[in-house]
Amino acid sequence: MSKTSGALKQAFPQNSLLKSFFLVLPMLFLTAMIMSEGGKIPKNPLHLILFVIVYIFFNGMFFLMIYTGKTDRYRAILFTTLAASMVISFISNLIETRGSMALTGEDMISGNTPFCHMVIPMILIPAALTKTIIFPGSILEGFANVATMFVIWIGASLALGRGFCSWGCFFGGLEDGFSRLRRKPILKHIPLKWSYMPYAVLAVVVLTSTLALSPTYCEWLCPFKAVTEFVEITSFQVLVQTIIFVSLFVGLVVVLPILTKRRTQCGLLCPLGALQSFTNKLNVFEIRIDREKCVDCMLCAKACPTFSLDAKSIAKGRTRLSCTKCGKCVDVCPKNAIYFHVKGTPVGSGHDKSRLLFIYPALILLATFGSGTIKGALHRILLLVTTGSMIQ
Amino acid sequence: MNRLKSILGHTWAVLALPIMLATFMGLDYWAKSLAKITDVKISPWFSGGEIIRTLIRENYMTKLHRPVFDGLFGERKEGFVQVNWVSLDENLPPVINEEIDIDGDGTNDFHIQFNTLTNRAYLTDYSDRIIGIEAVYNLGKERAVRVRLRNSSEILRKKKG
Repeated sequence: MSKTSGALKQAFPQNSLLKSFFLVLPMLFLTAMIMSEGGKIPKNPLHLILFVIVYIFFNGMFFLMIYTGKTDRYRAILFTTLAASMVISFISNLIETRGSMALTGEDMISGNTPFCHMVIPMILIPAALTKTIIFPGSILEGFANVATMFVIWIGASLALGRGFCSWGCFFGGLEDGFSRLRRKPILKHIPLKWSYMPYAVLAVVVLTSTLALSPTYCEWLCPFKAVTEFVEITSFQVLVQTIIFVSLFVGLVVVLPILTKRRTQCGLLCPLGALQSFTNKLNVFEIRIDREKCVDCMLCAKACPTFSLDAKSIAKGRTRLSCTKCGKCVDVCPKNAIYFHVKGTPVGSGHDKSRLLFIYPALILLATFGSGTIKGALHRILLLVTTGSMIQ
Repeated sequence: MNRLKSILGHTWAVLALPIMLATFMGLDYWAKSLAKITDVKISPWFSGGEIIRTLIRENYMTKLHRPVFDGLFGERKEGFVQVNWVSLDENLPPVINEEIDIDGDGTNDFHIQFNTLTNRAYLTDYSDRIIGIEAVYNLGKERAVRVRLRNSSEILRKKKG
């Protein structure tokens, strides 16, 4: 064994190289199938090179997760790359096809707005009562249509619960990335009562959207319009809406995550995150704390990006409902007292098995969302380097 | 009981991977099935509502949508009607003049003149249901206009009142 791998082995609880390799084999096959859409290997040499790079990237990170036993460290690299790639690909595509990031009235009445998962909480009640979707997209046609996004959300929620927020939601990846820029937080104390804010936002946007038959969070609050698309400014009202979402983006997605080392939009505003928290009740995967090993050092509570651990929850040996199963607390615990657990199974045993059962589907979600997006972004960056423009 | 819980927990945990794979591999099928089962449509406030009449002109077609007043329960006091003009050959005529009878009662409710070169519309109303032009849209070979309306049942209620 080389010096490096020997050092790695000493530093972390992990699997042997051989065992790690065998555990990665299924993922090598599954990601190959997903990325090639069932075996269609790209013929264009450039696309083939990008395919190979992204394939190695995902499986390399998965191998390191298995080998080192660390989850969040490598998840965060993939997740942040996905988010950055999403911004590059999405904006470039918009400018190429539409000429601008601004969404016009024409785009809206033609149903050309890609459906975003953040809208889901707002459309449920109107859909049940009026059989209509209050969003200017398409039910089945075009990119990111309503039915497709809904199916992905249902599948991801069944398989991962709120794990969706740390393994699939490309918006969360932006905050995750910004929250890792500083080694130590500047703002250390955020009162825990603020973590109930997303539930209040959820209640308000569900109510107002139902009454207005219009997605009010998208119109007034969603910070991620700043990096995707936004309504063209044609009136004073739209100007005010633009000022609000840009401020929220700068504040909650960029500045506060840097200052607090937390995912502040996910933890303090996101209504979908609040809704996803309830899916944790149904989902079988959870994070548990072994009270016998725990020394109440609170490192996990300080590290948790979504305010999902506090003294009370640690004393109970559980996370709060909002846990996104990112694995950061598991990684930082110096006593190995925190672990992935399958509900119903005996507490305190089978940690590795539970973690493996969780990270396989979680990585499938990340790879499916991420592979095409990262390939697209790499292609755009290559275009920029070779032609001086990301737009073809 | 604990054993049963454990078996169920493990079963679901093992199924998480097939669920995730099935979600993506059968995405088109699931999406079409979901759309069919739920039979949901895009809200008429965004789509413009169903087309109720199509009129073929010399080199273009006029599509009249149903008036949209849809509320959560019942109808709203105000809404709109959308009219689309679709070119049947290369271009739409520079100016389109159209008399619109919203409800098909034989009485025109408004006249609209649409300048397809400047994308401006001029409205002449013949009924107190008409409020004004809400928006005009340039959809390439197609143009559309939305005219804001008062709900006729609301007008009747006011007259009675």
